Amino acid sequence: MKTQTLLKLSLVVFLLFSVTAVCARLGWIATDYNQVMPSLSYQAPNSTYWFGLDIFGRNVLARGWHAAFTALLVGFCSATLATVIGACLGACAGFFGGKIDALVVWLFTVLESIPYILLLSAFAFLFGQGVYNVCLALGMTSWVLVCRLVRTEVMRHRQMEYVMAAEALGASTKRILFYHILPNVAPVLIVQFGLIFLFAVKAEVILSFLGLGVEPGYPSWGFMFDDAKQELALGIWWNFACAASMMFVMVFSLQQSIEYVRLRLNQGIAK
Amino acid sequence: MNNARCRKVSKWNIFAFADRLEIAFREQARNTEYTVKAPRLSSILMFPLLIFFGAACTPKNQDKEQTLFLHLREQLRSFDPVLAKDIYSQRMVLQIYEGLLHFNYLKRPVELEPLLADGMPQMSADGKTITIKIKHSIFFADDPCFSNGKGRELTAADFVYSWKRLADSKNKSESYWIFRDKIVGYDEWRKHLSEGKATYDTPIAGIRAPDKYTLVVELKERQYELLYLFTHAATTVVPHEAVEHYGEEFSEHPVGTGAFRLASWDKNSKITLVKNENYHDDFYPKEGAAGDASLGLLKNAGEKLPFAHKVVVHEISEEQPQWLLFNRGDLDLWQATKDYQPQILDGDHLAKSFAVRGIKMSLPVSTDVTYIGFNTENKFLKNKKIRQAMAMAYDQALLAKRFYNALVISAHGPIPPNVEGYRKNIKNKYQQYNLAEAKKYLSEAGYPGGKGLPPFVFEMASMHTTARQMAEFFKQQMAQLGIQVKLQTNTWPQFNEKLKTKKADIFDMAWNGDYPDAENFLQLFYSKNISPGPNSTNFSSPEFDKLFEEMKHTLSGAKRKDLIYKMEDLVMEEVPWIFNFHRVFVFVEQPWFYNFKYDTMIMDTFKYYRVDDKQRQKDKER
Amino acid sequence: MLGTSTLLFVLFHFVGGDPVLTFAGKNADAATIAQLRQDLGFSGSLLQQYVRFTRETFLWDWGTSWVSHGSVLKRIGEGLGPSLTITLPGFLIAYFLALLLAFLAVHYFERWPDTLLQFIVSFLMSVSFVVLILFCQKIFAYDLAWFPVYGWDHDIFKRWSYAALPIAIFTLATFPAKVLVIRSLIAEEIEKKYVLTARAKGVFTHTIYFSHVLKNILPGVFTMMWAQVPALLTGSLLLEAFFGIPGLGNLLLNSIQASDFPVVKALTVMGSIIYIVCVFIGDVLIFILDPRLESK
Repeated sequence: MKTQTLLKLSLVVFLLFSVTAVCARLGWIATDYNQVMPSLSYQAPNSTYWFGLDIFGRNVLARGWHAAFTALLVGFCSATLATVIGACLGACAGFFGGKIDALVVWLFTVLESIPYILLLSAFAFLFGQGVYNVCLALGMTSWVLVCRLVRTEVMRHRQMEYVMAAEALGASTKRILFYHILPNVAPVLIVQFGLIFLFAVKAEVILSFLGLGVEPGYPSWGFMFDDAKQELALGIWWNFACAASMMFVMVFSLQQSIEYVRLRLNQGIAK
Repeated sequence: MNNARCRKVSKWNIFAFADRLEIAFREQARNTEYTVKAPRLSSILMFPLLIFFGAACTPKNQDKEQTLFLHLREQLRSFDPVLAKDIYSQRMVLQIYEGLLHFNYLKRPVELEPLLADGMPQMSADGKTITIKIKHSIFFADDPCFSNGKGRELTAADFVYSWKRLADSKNKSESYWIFRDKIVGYDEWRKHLSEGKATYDTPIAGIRAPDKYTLVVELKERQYELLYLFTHAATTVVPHEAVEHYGEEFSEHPVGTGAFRLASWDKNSKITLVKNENYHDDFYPKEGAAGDASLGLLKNAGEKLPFAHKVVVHEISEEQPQWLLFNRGDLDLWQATKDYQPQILDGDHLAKSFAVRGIKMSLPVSTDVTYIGFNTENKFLKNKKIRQAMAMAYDQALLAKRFYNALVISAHGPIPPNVEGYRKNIKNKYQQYNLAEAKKYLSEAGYPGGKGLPPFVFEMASMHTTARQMAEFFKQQMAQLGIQVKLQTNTWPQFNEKLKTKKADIFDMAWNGDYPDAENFLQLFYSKNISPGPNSTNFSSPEFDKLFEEMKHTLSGAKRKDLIYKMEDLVMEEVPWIFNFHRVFVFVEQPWFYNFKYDTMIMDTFKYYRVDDKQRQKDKER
Repeated sequence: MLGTSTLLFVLFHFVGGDPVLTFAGKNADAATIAQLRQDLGFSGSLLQQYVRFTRETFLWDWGTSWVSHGSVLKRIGEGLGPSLTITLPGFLIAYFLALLLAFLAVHYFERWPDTLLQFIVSFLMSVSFVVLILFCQKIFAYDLAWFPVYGWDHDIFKRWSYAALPIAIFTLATFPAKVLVIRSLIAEEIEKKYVLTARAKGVFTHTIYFSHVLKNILPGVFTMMWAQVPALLTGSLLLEAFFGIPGLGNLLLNSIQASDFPVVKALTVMGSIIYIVCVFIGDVLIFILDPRLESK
């Protein structure tokens, strides 16, 4: 189907994008991202510098790639953290039920009821600035949705015959959870992972923009937008354009990739 | 009809679909059995859209008779003089409330003048007793808090009441320091009040009103700055009826003797002031500083104030909207910030495109100093040579160009121009960019190439974009020495906490003068003012302290100046701060706006401003 | 709810700068600070502070704001109007738009209009909210001057010119997600047998859509809508900050930055309460809307 090819293409784009960002971080390309050239401040885009130079004379495109890596890092770490916590708690709640379930439900209801921005700001303050702190903060506030889904799925599977059969055969709880139920819950988890990744990337931008994100001086699209806020009125559009387009490419391709993964997984299950 | 409903016929033709819809709707109009939501849907959609566009395009033709359009760069906190701690609130307070003294609007350097006082205060020979006569027939603005709605006459007792409010710890006033430790019985009364052992009726020995128009203040010892403090917003006079009537809402219902009163306040949005009908006689100064006449500032000499009937103040914290409003003629006066200065300026003149429109510009110097502070109690920063090295590695000229468009005055020490004790032509060796020297000093300190030094944390006082960019600049500069710097944003409260608990090692600060005297700047190095006081660098030098205490007891004159010079030299050598700049503001005014002259210390300014309505209408239609 | 308030207390205590020090101002000394500490209720052990905190919350005593020194409740009340002026219309329009487009999409299911719509929707979803605001503000308000750039008017009629652009941006940012969800709901519904029957009977397409399908997907849509109601009340932080709208979002942001504890506390606790209440009411309403659920 045509849509499927498009989606596959998106996945490829996303992977290419990520690889480039990683290369940038490893120092193979875009090495001049921190090189300050004060006299050339705000140089407009030209053939050498495709997106021009920023206020300190740094290569905007190079910074963009490093910021892309920051985004990927934050997305990956937060999503992992959130998924792991959510899955564990959700599985426990769904499987054991009773008091444990009540406790977990209470926990995430409490967390859900606090206005999101506040919770995030609070964690951001608590942990301070910095890349890993942002990951921690985002991870700790995003696990709720995963937990909910996992819990429902686990509860559902728990009633199924194959689990009862396994229990009858004397399989240990750990074995049942990891070997039997988890693979069935995996599709949902993977998709959720992707969604949280996406969400984390967007949130990191907003956090950095508000001053609650990564350390200043560390490349981030959020800071590029923050700079752009004042520059746009002066006609300096390249900072904004670079961050906006790069972020868009990544988010869009990631979104479509998740769709693709979801489609393929559903097809797999349908078989 | 039937064919039209068949999907296959119009597979690709979206117009056919629309046709079908239309036919269907007409059918439905005849057939009342089915309820159709779609037409209503679209009309419901259209309606609000129409309203939006209609309203958005409505021209705003308001009554603009003698109305000033100004703006605040931060949201107003409070109109209560005792609670107005930031300069924006203080500025607004001083349009509505008045104090004993104020500064002459035009004379420079600034000169004290009586406002509500009848003549300047009289000091006794030992300087410990000040007698002030209050003018007669000064009335508060009309307000429902008074028994018949009409403002009553001001008496000396009102000052006693107002200053008691300042001491009342229930008000949690940040301006209590103004009279703290200076007036006899003042601090004791505050303590007794909070313990319940005293009330507002309990007299304070140091502030008395022996008769209706006389105020007597008894000091613990001679205070030179006290007269300046009588111009401060927190010492202005409020009527007890208003405080009692409005209670908690008093912050929003000011009642004063000033030229204006509050008509309305749309929180975080717009403040509207109108002329106070009961305002006493007040006239535009007849003479000013040299050059005022040629600037047209004496045109209204001797005329009755205020000129404006209404003042609309927009509270806008983002710069772009401020700029847009000014450009469209909706703001009469604007302070251009760094990002917009290049658009308006050509070097330090107004750009041609603006000059042609008749727009005027002024570049007043602010009575402040910006600096980067070092915590002198930090293990490493204790070493003077390290601080000196860092100062010399910091390219201030580049900083000025990049962030201030070079519109600043380089500071060699803490004392700004316009203040007695400022020396114009001296140079501070450590303020000159000299990377080679800096590296040498660092090696001499025992850390060649920055080896052995831990990364320092640079605390920013806000989360503002420009603050972040300047911090990044500092980081880049220190990298030249091999010194690692980590940057940390803070909200103002977080920053404050770090300062006052001595947790800030290197930080970015500015000190705005409370009054135009060198003492206000030099006290920042006095060891008794160490955190949580204003001496945020915890600088302590017995030699400095001795000079400082001596200065406090010396009358203005050559000897005092000499002491000030010595203290400044000491601080310049010790480098507890990297002195940055004294800021220069860029103000632009519309061609129809007159009588603007700025000074950081002079805040009761709205009454002097004047607009020419005819000219405004003409010029706006360009 | 006790859990929520406890969590909030813990957060407030360990997070943010010590407000007493800020309160004291730049010329403070140790004695003043100690006095302030007591007045503001920060003295005493942690437990004492916690008890005080909980008591105030349950008694609905929010106290006075440290910044404006006026009643906290009043400030919140003032902020509610502007926030709702932006979010409520935006919310409703977004849903109308989403419904309309979703139906259109399903009508051309899997053909080019549908794909195009999905593409546009995905495109819009990928654009960061910040980018959208910056872009729209620059182009529509600054360059083209169709809308005012900033500000607010409390007058009930004049405020719409200021609200227009924020509402448009809010709608643009939120409707894409809804379109996708509604589209899948409709797609599922269309497969049902009664639709086939109706078509065979010769009922008009639009009647099928709007009279029958719509009513049946309403519970699903409603669940989605209702879950977002609490967020409506708090307003959009970014929108309010950029357009200078004196709503609750702006209030929250300013209060956090100024460490105005009473206001932040009031907003968050109230937010939690509203959330819980909404969930409860939502469950009740769902039963009313879809009688079939009662039997479950």
